[in-house]
Amino acid sequence: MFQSLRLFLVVAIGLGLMTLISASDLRMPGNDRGYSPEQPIAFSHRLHAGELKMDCLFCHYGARKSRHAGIPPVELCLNCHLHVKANLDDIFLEKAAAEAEGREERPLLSSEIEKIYQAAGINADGEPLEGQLAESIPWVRIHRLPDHVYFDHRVHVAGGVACQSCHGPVQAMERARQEHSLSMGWCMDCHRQTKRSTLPGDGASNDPGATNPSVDCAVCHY
Amino acid sequence: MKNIQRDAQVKSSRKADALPENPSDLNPSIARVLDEIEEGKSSSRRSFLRLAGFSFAATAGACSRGKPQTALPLVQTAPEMIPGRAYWVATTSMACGAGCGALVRCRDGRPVKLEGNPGHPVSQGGLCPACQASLLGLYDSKRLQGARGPEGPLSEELLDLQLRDLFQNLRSSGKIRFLTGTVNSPSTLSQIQACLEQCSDGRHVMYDGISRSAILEAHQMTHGVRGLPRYRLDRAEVLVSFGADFLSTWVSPVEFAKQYARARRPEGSRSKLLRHWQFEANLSLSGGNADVRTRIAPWEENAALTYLSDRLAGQERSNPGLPALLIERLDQLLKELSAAKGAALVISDSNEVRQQLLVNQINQHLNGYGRTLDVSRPSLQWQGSDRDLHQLRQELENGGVDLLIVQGCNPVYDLPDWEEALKKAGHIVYLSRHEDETSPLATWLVSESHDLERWDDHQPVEGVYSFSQPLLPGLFAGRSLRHCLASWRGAAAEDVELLKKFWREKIYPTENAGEAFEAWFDRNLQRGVYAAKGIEPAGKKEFQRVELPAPDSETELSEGKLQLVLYSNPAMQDGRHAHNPWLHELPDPVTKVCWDNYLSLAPETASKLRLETGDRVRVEGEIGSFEIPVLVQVGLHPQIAAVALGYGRKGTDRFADIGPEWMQSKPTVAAGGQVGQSVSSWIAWKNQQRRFSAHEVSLVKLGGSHKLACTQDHHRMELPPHLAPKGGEVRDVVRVLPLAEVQGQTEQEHGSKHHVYKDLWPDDHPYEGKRWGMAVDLNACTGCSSCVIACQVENNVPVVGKDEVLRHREMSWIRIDRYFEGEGDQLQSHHQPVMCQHCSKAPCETVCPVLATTHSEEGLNQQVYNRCVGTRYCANNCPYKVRRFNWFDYPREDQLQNLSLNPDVTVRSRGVMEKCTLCVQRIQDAKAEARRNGRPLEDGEIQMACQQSCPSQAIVFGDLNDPESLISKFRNNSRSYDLLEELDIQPGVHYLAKVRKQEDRGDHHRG
Repeated sequence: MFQSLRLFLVVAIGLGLMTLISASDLRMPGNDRGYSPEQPIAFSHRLHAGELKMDCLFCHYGARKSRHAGIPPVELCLNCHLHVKANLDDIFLEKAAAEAEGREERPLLSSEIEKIYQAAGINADGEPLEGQLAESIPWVRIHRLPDHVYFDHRVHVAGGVACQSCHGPVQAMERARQEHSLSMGWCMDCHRQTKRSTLPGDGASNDPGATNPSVDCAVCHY
Repeated sequence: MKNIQRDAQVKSSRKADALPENPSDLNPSIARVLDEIEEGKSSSRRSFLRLAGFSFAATAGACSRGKPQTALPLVQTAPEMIPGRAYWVATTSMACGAGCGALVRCRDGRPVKLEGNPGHPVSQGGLCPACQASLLGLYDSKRLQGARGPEGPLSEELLDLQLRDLFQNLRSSGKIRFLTGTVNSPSTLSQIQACLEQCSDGRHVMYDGISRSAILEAHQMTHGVRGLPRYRLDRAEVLVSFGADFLSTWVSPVEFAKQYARARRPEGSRSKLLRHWQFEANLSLSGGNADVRTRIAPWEENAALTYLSDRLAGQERSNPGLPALLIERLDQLLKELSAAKGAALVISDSNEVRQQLLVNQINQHLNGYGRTLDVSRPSLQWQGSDRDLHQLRQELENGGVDLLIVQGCNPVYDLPDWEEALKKAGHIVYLSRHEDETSPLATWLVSESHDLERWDDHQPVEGVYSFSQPLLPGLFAGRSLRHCLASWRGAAAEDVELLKKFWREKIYPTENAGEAFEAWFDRNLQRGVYAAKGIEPAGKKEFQRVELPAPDSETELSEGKLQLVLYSNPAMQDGRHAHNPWLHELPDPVTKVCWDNYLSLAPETASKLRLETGDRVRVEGEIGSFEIPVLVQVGLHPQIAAVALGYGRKGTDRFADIGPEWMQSKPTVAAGGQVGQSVSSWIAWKNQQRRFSAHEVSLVKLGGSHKLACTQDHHRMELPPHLAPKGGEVRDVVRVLPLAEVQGQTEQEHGSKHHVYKDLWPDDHPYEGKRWGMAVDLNACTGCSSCVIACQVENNVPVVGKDEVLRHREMSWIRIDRYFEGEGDQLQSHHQPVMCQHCSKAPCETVCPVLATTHSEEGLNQQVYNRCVGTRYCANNCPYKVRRFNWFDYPREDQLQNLSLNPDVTVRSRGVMEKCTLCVQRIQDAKAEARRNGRPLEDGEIQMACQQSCPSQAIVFGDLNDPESLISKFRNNSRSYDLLEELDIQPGVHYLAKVRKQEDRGDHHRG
């Protein structure tokens, strides 16, 4: 009698804890799913990748050639943002206001885009600011693998793995967020289940002998 | 500094760009590291507090994400600067003076590895240990920072101002002298020349720490050319070396090793393999590799060379009092030389002009000039003149020198008796990288830039130019001599402009390039080398017979005395690498001792004097005495005692704390002490030349002993004697085959020669795709140890310090086992590089309780650091003893040194096992590149670090499943065998047996 009550209690507490863990925001150590820190600039992936349909690799061009996808240099942002200086809605509003008041349109510079100019050490007209050096924007890193893992973006990009497979629907994220656990089990799932020949853009010409991604330790750990 | 910060893309933390001793600071930028060093902030208290803070934070936030990590992107980019992607820059390495071409691998704006440039006509790929290790010198926080004047630190502008004034005042009336090491940079020489032209009394004196002056003097006399001939070992059938260690230290070792190995490959197209005769007193690396090695006392060399020369001239000579064996060997040699006229070469490292004149005569008799050695396009690698040096000393002593500009040498260390003379110079300007023996004498001390952070050009051989380029902005405001001189003589310009101006005005017009200068220059710069087409050889230089000077070395040794022989080893050389811990921990290729120099004695001499290895002795001679430990070394002449130069350098007490600190640890150097013992005061002057074996000494045994860290009996593959069967265990580790057996046989059927028992383990490795394998050709391997340093740099192998080496805990992933065969005048040495053999049935894999070491689909034995719990079962079960355990964390000296780490390889932490991975990071990188470009991997595309650096191309790597690959051809070679193949563990690394060109000399033993 006592025995079965104890068993019942253990099972009940166990089940309760499991429910709590799965329902709440509690995670196993090292699992950073959902991590979405505030960034120094309120950059919107939804706008750039979703609405404007910019290719991920346009900014994260490192992913094609290097193990790191990289964060674009300020220089690259400025290619567009020397011309695009404010939200389109604000520009229309200003235009309407100027027409209504019968005055010249005032140049607009959004406070977020201004931060790019500051980092580049230039003023709104693109001229270098006296005494201000260019500085890196201190983005907060989201996707982080443990130190003993070497992940290589270029093989995955070349193999046709969509960025979203690992990073989630970034084109829908206002602020970037870690979508998957990036744990070894999660990587292995994909490596075990994917047949390389089924991946788009990775035809037989690349590596005819191999059929699915390697699951050797030394592929990532060295 | 700002620039570097911009270029430094911060990646994930504790990989290679990490700070093992400072885990809380997860985002180091180079600039911050530098700032801390400059401000002297990295005190131990501070590190302790940080560490304490980190542990507290780590405990408190165990399940949360921890401190947010910033990722700083570049502000501006260059096309080659993609974070995480390596790029290569061609440059020239001057660490050993030979001027070999190097390709530098850079990651994120900083150099991380030097490799040989296969397109360089001198070195043709391959790089010596010292040049590879010079990378660490770049990240040395003890380098001089900025300039110092008579009244303390000076800014660059102020220094230039003061020296411009001084130069202005002295140039019409004063005596200005330049004292430098060999300068073969044409643009620097042109600046020196421009200075001298402005002076009424100026002169440039060059000298080398290890002098080759007599060779130059002799060629001046016989050929009218002051230069080292360019030696062509590959054109010779018989090579005779009198003491010259051309495979490790003499003149241009990488070039020679390449030629030597090519001329001795039995599979090559040569009808006759190169036969190598060595006559020497000390046992050198080259001597051990020789087919016939004969011991000769230094005082017998004159007579031996005269005998050879006279006999070759057709004169009959009786034995001039030489030992019977020596004369017998000389007679035998004479027969071979006469049969190989036009294809024979004699070299000598003697610094006595008479001996070098004899060598020239012999080479002339043998029709060598124009064939096996070339004076029409001489080598400019060593141009030091002892005669000029001697003259400068007279001038200094007379007090006549007003300004002495010293660069590229360390005169107080190299020439200790010069100190008083140097003090008589009016002013000394000294360009140096460290505070050293000479720097206290300098009126102005200028920090010299490292080879990897400056523009330069070099001319190692006449008509062959190679370039150096800065790979990162100067870390310590270092400057080049060229830049300084231009500023001081009032023609200041940017260093690169000075270089380009010289090239535009002096070299470009001779070329008729048909393209604009900038394009032409950039193209050559990119290749790293330019072979002049415009310059014709300066006509054929004819041999002129000259009267031989009388011999000036002793003809005999006094009773009971020993001759002191000074030599240099490839690590320290003349002492210039004393600040490099990688080179200190590199075992000497012959004696396998590291972290010390010692007095080598032949076993018969040692037993007569009742001395053993490790005994301390006082060496007494005419000029004084010094104390040093003894090493008993086979193969030495019984009447000599040999000591390596280049040790006992000021500043080496910095290594006192190197290695882990724990209860029983002992310092590598006693506080305030030095690594080894300086013996440069025992270099003698005779006839205005420096002599490196001139003193008679006697030994007095002192009490106490000094432990020498010798790695030779570490990681043995044999059973210890008390466990071995009676008579010792015989394991056929190094195989030597007679030439006759090898020739005619090209391929062999593979299979073990030993009886193979039924296997316990299933054959479950199908290797369907690739099967990586390696082959080491023992016939090509000279034991030069380039691979050891290459592996250390590539794989972040730590330095552990002398005490840990004594405990058999050195961490090198590749070791070179040295075996001696025969003794005395029959001695031969065999060198066998041993790394993880990547066995198909690996004994280590079966015993790991946590599956931290497993077998990959492609035949690699993988070690997973994050799974390893450190039981060390695997190391115990490894028959090759190639696994290394991290007994401690081995922090680099400081944060700046962390920048030398390879970001593609994990820095292992305490408590895990590690070993050779077959450079899996290179395999992965090459595979990724191939996949990115949509093409299959090509054979030879992946090169191991050890393979790339090997001057003699003894190491081959590739896919054993590809029958057309080079590795398969090596595998099917009749010389191929597996190490310990009786164990049937099917290693993926194979060895090619050495080929004996001599009659069999019996068993070999490791000793």
